[in-house]
Amino acid sequence: MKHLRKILCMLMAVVMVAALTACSGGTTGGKATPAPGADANDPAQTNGSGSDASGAKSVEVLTWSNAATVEYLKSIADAFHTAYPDYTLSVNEVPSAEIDQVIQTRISAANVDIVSFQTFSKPQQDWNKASIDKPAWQQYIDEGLLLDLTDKDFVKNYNLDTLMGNAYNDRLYSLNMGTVAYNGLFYNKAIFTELGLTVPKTWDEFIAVCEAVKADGKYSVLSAGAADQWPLNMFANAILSGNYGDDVEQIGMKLLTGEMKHTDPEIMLVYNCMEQFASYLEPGVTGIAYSDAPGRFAAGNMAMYADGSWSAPDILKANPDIEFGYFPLPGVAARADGLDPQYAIKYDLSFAVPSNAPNQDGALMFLTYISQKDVYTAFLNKVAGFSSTQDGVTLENDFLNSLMPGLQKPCLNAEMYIYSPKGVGEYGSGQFSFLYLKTLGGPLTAAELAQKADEDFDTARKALESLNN
Amino acid sequence: MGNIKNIPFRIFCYVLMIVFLFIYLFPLFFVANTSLKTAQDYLLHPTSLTTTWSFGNYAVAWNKANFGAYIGNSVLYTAVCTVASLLLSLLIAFPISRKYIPFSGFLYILFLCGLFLPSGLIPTFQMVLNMGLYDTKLGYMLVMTGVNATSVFFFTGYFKSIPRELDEAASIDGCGYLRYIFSCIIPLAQPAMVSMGMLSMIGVWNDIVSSTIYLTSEANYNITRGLFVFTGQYSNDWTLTAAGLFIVAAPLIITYIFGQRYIVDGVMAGGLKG
Amino acid sequence: MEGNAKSPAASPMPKRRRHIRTFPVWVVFLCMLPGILHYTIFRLFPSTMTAVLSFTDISGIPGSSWQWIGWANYKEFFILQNIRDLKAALGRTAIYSLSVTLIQNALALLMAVILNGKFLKGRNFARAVYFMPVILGAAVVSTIWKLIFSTPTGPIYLFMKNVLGMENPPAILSSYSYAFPAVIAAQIWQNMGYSMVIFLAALQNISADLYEAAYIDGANEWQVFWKITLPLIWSAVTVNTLLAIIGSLQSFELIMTITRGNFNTSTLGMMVFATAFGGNGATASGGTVAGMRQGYAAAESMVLFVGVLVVTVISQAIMKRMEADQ
Repeated sequence: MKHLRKILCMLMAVVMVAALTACSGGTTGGKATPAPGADANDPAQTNGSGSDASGAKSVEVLTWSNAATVEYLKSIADAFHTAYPDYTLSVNEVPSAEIDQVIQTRISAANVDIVSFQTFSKPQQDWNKASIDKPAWQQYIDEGLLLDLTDKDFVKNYNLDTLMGNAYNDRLYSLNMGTVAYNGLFYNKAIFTELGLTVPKTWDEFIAVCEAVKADGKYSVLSAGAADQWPLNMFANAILSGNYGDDVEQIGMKLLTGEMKHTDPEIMLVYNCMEQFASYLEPGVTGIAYSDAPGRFAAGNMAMYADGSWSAPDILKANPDIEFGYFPLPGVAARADGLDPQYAIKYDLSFAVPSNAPNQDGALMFLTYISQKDVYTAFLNKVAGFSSTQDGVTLENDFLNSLMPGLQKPCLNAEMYIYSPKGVGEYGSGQFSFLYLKTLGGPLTAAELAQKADEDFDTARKALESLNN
Repeated sequence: MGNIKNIPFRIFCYVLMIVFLFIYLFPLFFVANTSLKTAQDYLLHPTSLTTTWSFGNYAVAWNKANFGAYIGNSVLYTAVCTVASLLLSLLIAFPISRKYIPFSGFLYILFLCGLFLPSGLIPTFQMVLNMGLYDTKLGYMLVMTGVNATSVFFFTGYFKSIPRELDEAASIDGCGYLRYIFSCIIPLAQPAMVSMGMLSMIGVWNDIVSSTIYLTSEANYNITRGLFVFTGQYSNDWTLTAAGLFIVAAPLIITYIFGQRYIVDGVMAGGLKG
Repeated sequence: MEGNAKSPAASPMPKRRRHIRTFPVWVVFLCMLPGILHYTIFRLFPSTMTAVLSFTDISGIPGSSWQWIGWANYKEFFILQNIRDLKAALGRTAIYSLSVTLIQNALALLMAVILNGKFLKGRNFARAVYFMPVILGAAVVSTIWKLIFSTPTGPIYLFMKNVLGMENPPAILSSYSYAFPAVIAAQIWQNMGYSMVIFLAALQNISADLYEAAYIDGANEWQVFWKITLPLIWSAVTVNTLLAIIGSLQSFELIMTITRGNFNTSTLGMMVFATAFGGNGATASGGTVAGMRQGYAAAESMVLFVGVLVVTVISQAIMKRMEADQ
């Protein structure tokens, strides 16, 4: 490489010139050039939404891979086209892990008409402004990239109180298609009957059930799609919700501000439960991919399986003969109101319309279409994992109806309330992460993990202070 | 070395070669074997040799992964980007090697810088976004086309072996520049073109980073992006994934079998002259 | 041509030019123009602009406002991030680059020397096989290794369980301890053939007479390698080292496709990608960032660039020194 020296010199020069330009560029801000597709109604410019032969414009719906939802949406395409001959429906599916990224890129490209979100949680507000970044959904809304749906006619079909739980600044930017319970465990009814077990109502009963299955030895006790990491974090949150319900909101705030510590007894209780929970997970669980897991439970030799209620259709698909139920993970103490353990929910599939959608009218027509009571009811029955956000919908799905006793006083899942401060270290950003625990092959005990989380939170707070001063 | 009859040394060489052959062939063999099993057979006996020979996996994977649509895109991207890159590089390398224009030396170094420059991933994205070319086939091809530093470098060296007198004769005969390039230089530089062309083809066909960034509609996916998404969706079904993998790899392997000499030559020459 | 030189008034051409004029410069230049323009717009300009964008808070969300924020991105990178994790992430980047460079080149050199032995039957086949993963690309290679390392039906898992008798073998790709080495192994597996081919080319240029003379003088293979082979192929060693360092510091395709940056496998190159375009491993602690923070990603990119530059200069100096010592 005899030219190396020359090349290096030139590179240095280029970098220095660039840095100088940047520094002398002044501090005047700028408005970035408007996105392509500002004149988005011109179909020729956007390749995503062409017209078909009959001149109907396609409504591009973007959602994550969930077999039941995607299949249903595809199945109503014809009916939608019949009802609204000007439009056709086109469903775009991406893996759940990539949905945030793809929403962002497709909105950038202005070639999508409906995007799918879940709960709009953890907005940046005055009290936490210094410690957290704006979540992506809030950036979209603040930049005016999502259409305000509050006054649209189709919203009137829904229970407004429920929908407004997912509003931002009292305006609705997404239309929720159903809430979902996900702090529970699937259990195999045949195994429970064989071993004479009943659904546990307290944490101690839950541990007793685990011990009984373990002692019997024929079946694996508990599993999850742990290789993807989040299915386990979901159960750290389930433990939080099971014990503290909506009080987690306060806990999350106090943890962020430093008023409360992970080593405080309230939170240590969560860590200890996690440690116990982890010890019953089947060997090799950290290698089981989430997409694999429902099928493994469906095979019938596993007593309990940790997942959200949305997986019920997947389990049935893998083995239509299996009999299973779902119960909320109980808290350590019984509920003060005397109810059985209740579910923690989130707003699942929620449709939003980008304001630069090339076919905005079509998008609104589609939302109108799917909000009709009969279509919506059919949707819920078919998807069989969501609870209704419209009033007076009767479901024929036994599994969904079996959840009703746990939905008398649902709380919002702890996931919506627990923050990680900016710049927090790995034990804090993966807070309540099972995978560090010794009982799952990690390096730490519950107490050590809580200690590390506190240290990381403190370090992050100090760094923020020093940076702001 | 090794021309003498040192028997232990020879045995050592053979053992090592075979061990490495195993390390390189076993994964491919395992994937091929898996792709021919039924899902059930794989779950029960993951490591046994296939007895079911379920070639149907390939058809299922082809349909489920929608490869039929993506392969057309991949062929388009690969063809356009390879031809464009080759032409652009050639038209730059030739005058540089002949010093036909002022500052040839400077230009040469400038293009070599490409080997060391940071990728510019982010400004490129912003630029493509603001040009309205985001998530379009044209935008992707513009990004993937490149006056590749290695090609300029390789061609410059190669053209020096073509006698200069040829240029002079051609220009005296009144042959236009472009005509001269197409009718004389390109045929003469064929081996170099094939080598660089194949390297470029492989690069474009295999691209996963740019296709992840720039292609978000299924209508624009290339086949590797399709494979990546497919493995995400069907990661519970290794037999299908393995079949999908071979569908994507097949054109590469065929190219390799027939063009091995050129590909390896390109790499060897690029490394040596550095 | 000499005639021209004798009468400078007749020709404006400089004396040094020994050839007759062939094609008009403007035609030649016009033909170069598309390439130069493309190179300037899509290569030089973006590379330079990275430095400029690193002083802004620009995001990937179209139409959002942005402003100059001075060194804030760099401060955030070096001060706000958890220092322990930042050190770990930079350390990972170094380990990734160092182990890939050393192991890949050592293995490549070993295999090249062996495959250069004329007595070896099947050496052409072996060369073709070792080179194969280079052409397969990240999407295919990552899928192969995901299958090989999969749990609980993958061959490695079953090997650990049934042959090594481990009771509860780790799930390699979802383990904080083993995922990163596994990705490094995959990277080496993929690129060893590339380095090997460059070594082979250098080896084939060495005259057989040299070896024969050495063997007649009673040297063994070991001595021949150190005294004859290595010094003669030193330029190939330099090239391979540089290519491996630069390549491995910047490459993240396999990390992105195998672990998606989870389980402490993210290197600086992966952090840049994840920060700019979304995904895990965007921060040193393995988390994600909200929105596509492309200004911040540009700053990370500059840190990486300076790192590459420094390492290249240092390694170049070391290689020079080693060459002089031989």
